[in-house]
Amino acid sequence: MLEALTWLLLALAALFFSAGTLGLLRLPDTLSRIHALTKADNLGLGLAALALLLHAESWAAAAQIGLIWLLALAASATSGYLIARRCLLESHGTPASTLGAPPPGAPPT
Amino acid sequence: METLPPTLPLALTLFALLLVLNLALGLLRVLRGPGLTDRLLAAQLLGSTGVALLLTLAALQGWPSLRDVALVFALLGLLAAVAYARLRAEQHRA
Amino acid sequence: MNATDLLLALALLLLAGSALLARSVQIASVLFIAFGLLLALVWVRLGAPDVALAEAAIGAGVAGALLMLAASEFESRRIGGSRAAGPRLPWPRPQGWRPRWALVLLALACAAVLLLAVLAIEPLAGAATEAVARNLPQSEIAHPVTAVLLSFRAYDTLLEIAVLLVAVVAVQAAPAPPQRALAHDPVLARVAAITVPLALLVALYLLWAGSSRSGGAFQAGAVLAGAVLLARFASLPLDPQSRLTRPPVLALGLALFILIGLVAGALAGAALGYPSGWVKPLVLAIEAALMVSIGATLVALFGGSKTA
Repeated sequence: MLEALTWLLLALAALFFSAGTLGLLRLPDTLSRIHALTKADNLGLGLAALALLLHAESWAAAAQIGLIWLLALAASATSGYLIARRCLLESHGTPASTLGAPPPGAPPT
Repeated sequence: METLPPTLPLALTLFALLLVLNLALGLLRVLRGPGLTDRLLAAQLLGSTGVALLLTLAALQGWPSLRDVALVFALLGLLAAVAYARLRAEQHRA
Repeated sequence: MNATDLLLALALLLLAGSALLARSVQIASVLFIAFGLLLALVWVRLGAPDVALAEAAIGAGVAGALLMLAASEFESRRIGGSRAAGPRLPWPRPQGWRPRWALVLLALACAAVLLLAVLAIEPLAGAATEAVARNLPQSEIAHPVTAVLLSFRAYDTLLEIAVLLVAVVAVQAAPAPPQRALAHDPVLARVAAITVPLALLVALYLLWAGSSRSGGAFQAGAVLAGAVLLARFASLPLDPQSRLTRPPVLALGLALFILIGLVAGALAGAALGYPSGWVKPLVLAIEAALMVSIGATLVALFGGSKTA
């Protein structure tokens, strides 16, 4: 029973990982690639971590796997944000000090 | 939670092979680019795939130390992205 | 050896080649980071998790960030920004560049010699591993790598630390690029507020783990440096960098190592020896001091500890 679940989780993880990587290769521009990487890959990692967690040799090991996944999630989300922001700022040519300003072209609130 | 179920090593090995394939594909993006940002993204991909691969190998080979390596991978993936973003910000401001 | 190993080896060669031939220094530094990540995986495949930890933390992490910093400084100089023109830098190559064939042949000859030397090495399932295994109980250290680094070959490690100290003295003698204040990024500040302490904990964990499994002073020091650099790049209001890169902190590791080596050695009857029963705490003390010094040294390489 547990085996079947593990196989399923690993299969799903494989699917999401591949989706993320294919997205990185095939999607047309940087911003959509960031999207693929940040979301699909981390979901894949989460599913894989869950599968491995179920078979960890101790509670400490399971906790470590969980911590690694959370850290990877935070790291990935943050790097996605940072890289995307750089992309936007550099392509619109706005100075970096407009952090928090409404996007160019939006009606003034 | 002690001995692995019998089919698990096979599942883990297949998964690991798939991750290696993903690494190879990510490598393509790192080498081709075309820009700096795309290569950095691909490096992040190598990082997260590396984390998954290390966690899998830790279970497959029974080496808990590999989880520590995975932890460090995750941390420095963040450092690289932060360094890139802030250095670019500095550069474009000057 | 199987297909994945061949793939990794090929990937390393391709990455190294691309990094050397990249059209800009910044691209080269990102390729270097990717190279470091794959190299860490190779170390894992070779059964060396300690080296993998060090490679990931130092090679792909700190050195990668250092190269990115250098590349960014380089690009600023080239674009001409607001800095005075610096010395002429040889990248990218000027028009009409031709390869120097004599150098190419020399490089190929060196590569061939190295390849032959590597192929001639006997597999290391022999004397060294046996010797370590035989003497491990006597060293009272559980992990063979730590035993080699801090007991059997402690003198080598001592000299390595001395070299690091000399290097950082040389680096600090050079003028550092001024660090300009950056816009505050609230997301980054929040994430860093959580991640930096976490990284510090990871460093301490690696230090502690070194006594019984992979880890130790070098890896912990590199992660410590990573934590401080993260704080610097995220522009956290705390400024650990200037406090950390002072001479006493940099020299702490070497000083304590020598002190313990002499005092404990006098008690144990041999320099750099440890009296029986005291091995674990003494080694841990040395490794802790080394961790701080190595972390400080790596951070000091980034310069900019004085704000502009």
